Amino acid sequence: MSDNRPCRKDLMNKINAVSFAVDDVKLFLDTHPCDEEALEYFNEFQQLRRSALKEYARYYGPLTIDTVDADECDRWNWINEPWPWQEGGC
Amino acid sequence: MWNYEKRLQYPVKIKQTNPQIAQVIITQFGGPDGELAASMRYLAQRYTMPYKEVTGILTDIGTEELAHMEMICAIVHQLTRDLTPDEMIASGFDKYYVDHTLALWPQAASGAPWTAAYFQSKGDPITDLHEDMAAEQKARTTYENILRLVSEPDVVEPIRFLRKREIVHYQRFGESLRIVQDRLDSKNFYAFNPEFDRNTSKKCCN
Amino acid sequence: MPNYRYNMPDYERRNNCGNHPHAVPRRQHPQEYSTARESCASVLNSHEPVRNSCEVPHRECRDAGEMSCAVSESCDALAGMPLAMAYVPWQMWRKIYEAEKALCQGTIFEELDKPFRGTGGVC
Repeated sequence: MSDNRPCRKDLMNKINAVSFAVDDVKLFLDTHPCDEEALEYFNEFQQLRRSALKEYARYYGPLTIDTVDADECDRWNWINEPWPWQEGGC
Repeated sequence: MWNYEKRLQYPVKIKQTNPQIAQVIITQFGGPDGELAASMRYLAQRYTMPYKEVTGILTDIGTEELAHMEMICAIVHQLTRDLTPDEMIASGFDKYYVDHTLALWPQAASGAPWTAAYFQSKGDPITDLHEDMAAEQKARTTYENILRLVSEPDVVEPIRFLRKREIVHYQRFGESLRIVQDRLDSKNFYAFNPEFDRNTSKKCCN
Repeated sequence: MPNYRYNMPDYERRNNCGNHPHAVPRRQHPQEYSTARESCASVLNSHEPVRNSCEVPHRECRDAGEMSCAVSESCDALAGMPLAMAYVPWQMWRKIYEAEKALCQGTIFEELDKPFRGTGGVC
């Protein structure tokens, strides 16, 4: 791995922040399904989340089953540590 | 239904063990107003909810509560890691340890096991949403009680986060109730149960 | 207080994105208002505590000798709403935190950010 890869902690912080924005606006949209500003906000953060998850998976392994790339590795890396409740997990 | 993400909704990184406070915080895992009860409540109620916005809220908040349960379990796990027998005896944690070692098991702070009796799924939208709004307030109060007992920032921060989520959930359930009201006749919201009654008799007076 | 659909100013323009439910009426019968005033007067005269949202103390009402504590529709924000029901105000999309701050605060909505200030522990 080259040294140009992004800092793992920074990338995880970014994923947490944009994912949380998606979480909260999702609930708002459930009761306000026609709110255009909220829909726009959702789209913006959903995009940011998707690309951050993809980037994280590329350098540090998948956080979701959808970002598992079984071709890249010769073993199943979904089970790699850390798990979220462990030290170093998130 | 499910996808799983290998990430807590909010980070939990606790450096110092504390089995005493772990016995209190575990109540938000398996206690009467904890995250497991909240999740089961909302996920159970959604099947017969006749309004899609409310079904959406019950599903999305019901699954978010599972993520919160995971956070609470992470907190309890990190507070009880690598304890010595002396530490366990001194804190009273030995009573839990003897039955569960250091594993997580859903119980209240009192030791009472988790039970479905902690929630209701009544099958009437107005009733269920009032139950849900009350549940969020009970959870908020429980987190506030915990905050009065804890001063360690590593523990305080995720607990504070979880408390804030309860307030947001309360607002959403309140809006869900407004949506239900909007679909019923305001002259008498209680004329019938939209989850069950197909025909209503207009001849009924009272 | 109108229900949620009437809080959406362009609800009609955007073809509702849904159905047209029955409206919740803003006012009930006018007679209820005068009945409320009469009952407030009788309560004052009987020296029982008056509960209303005017926040005028009972003592001042008696001294003033006026109907300043009368329950009026303008004092009760929910006046006119159907009885025997709870109403949570409808939230509008505004005052959104920046994402990193939102995660720290536990919500993206400044208006739902209600910190705990009780004694003990850290706020």
